[in-house]
Amino acid sequence: MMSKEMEALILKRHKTEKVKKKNQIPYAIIILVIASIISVSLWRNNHSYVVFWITGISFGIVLRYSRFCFAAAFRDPFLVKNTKLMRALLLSLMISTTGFAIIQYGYLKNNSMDYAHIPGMIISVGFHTMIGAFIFGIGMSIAGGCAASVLMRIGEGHVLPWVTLLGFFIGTVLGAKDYSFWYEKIIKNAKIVYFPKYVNLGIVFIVQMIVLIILYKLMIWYQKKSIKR
Amino acid sequence: MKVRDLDCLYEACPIPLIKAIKELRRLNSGDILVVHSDESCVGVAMVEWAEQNNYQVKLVETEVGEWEIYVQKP
Amino acid sequence: MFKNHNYYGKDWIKSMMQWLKKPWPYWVGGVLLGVLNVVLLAISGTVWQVTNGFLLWGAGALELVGFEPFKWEYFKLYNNRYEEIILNHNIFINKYTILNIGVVLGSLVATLLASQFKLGKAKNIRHILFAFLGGLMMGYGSRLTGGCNIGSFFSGIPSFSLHAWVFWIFITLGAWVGTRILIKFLI
Repeated sequence: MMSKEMEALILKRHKTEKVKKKNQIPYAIIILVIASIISVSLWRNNHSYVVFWITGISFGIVLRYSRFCFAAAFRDPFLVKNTKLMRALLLSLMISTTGFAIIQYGYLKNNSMDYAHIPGMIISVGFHTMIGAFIFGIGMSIAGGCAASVLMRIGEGHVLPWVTLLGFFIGTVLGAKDYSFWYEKIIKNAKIVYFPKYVNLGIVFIVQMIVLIILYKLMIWYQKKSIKR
Repeated sequence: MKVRDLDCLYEACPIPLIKAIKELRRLNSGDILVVHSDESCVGVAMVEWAEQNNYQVKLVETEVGEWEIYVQKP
Repeated sequence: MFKNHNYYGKDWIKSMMQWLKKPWPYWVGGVLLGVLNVVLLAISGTVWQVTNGFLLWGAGALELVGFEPFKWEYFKLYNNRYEEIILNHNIFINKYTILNIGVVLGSLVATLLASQFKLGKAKNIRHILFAFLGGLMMGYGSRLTGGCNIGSFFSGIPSFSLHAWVFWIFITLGAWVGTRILIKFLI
């Protein structure tokens, strides 16, 4: 969507399309070739690392190409009344909910409900979750991106995410060092609440999908009603 | 019709977006704002915002890794 | 005839470059991220998580200069995550760090394919300070909850654990406060 004035302005400023001539694809191919060689070498040596290597690279490509930003997904609904990213995030949660449900169902058929070993991230909930997530939310907003975003922006060539990364190193180490304090005060009394322990996994799955779908529809409604007339 | 340039190079998203919205409020109808940014998500976010709010918008890649986002106030 | 063939070749490269520059819609990203996390869990038994890798590098660096971070209670409490890595001295190269390096590489490849890679710089000291403080807070907060937005939330919701929903509520609150701070100091 472009007015004639805008079109004229752009033409005036950018007669030569110099950016169309710079081609960095050969570098990309070289890196992909090296990455493939590493993959094959990892696979040949029967290393489970090859899965993490290829998946990590895939995550990186997807994050960059889709301009996916978790920080923006949380922030845009109240900052610019836009829920597109949050909806995309909800989609990803619906898909992973389905996949994880299948995986966990398969696991629990033959194994006991040991939270540390059930496939997934099943950890305790309590005030430490609230405080930690809150602090994380603030940090994410002032740094301009979350943990994955830092990695993505480093790959793009930006320099600030390296500073954020340094902050991450120090912050995680300090957090681990201080953990004993928090553990004594809060965490050791915290429980793990794994829904399928109390309700059949199939029902949990369906309820969670319904909740995610309702949130999705809510996001559509919220954005629609904020459009200026 | 005024043309205003906003240099947001080296600023992390969402700062360029917030600055642009603030600046657009000051402009008059028909004025064009040109946002300079080197963040890939800013371009996409600005286009999304402009379309949502019925502003004319065009994302132009000017240098390697740099964009200009033209936004015209309706 | 040779001239025509050359022209056709250049055109093809140009349109390929344009096609590689195009960003994907958000929903495509969402779908793929969801699928990838499922695939990762199905094959490796581990979910996507980022800050564990950062912690190991940080602690590993401390170890190199003479400290003994792995004696901290944290690593005993999270035995199932770190025991194997610590015992085998894989502090710097392990599944968590390989995931992270992979993400950087993937992003780099994607940026190069779009021919948009540019070495950046920092605008001023305030931006650097906020970037650092942000990382510090995220790092610390992630240890309290047991993971970051990826490990705790993105991988926690599909794992049917309540902590992820609490995380969701409070990260949103934090984002609201953080954005207010950002607007006050950096706009």
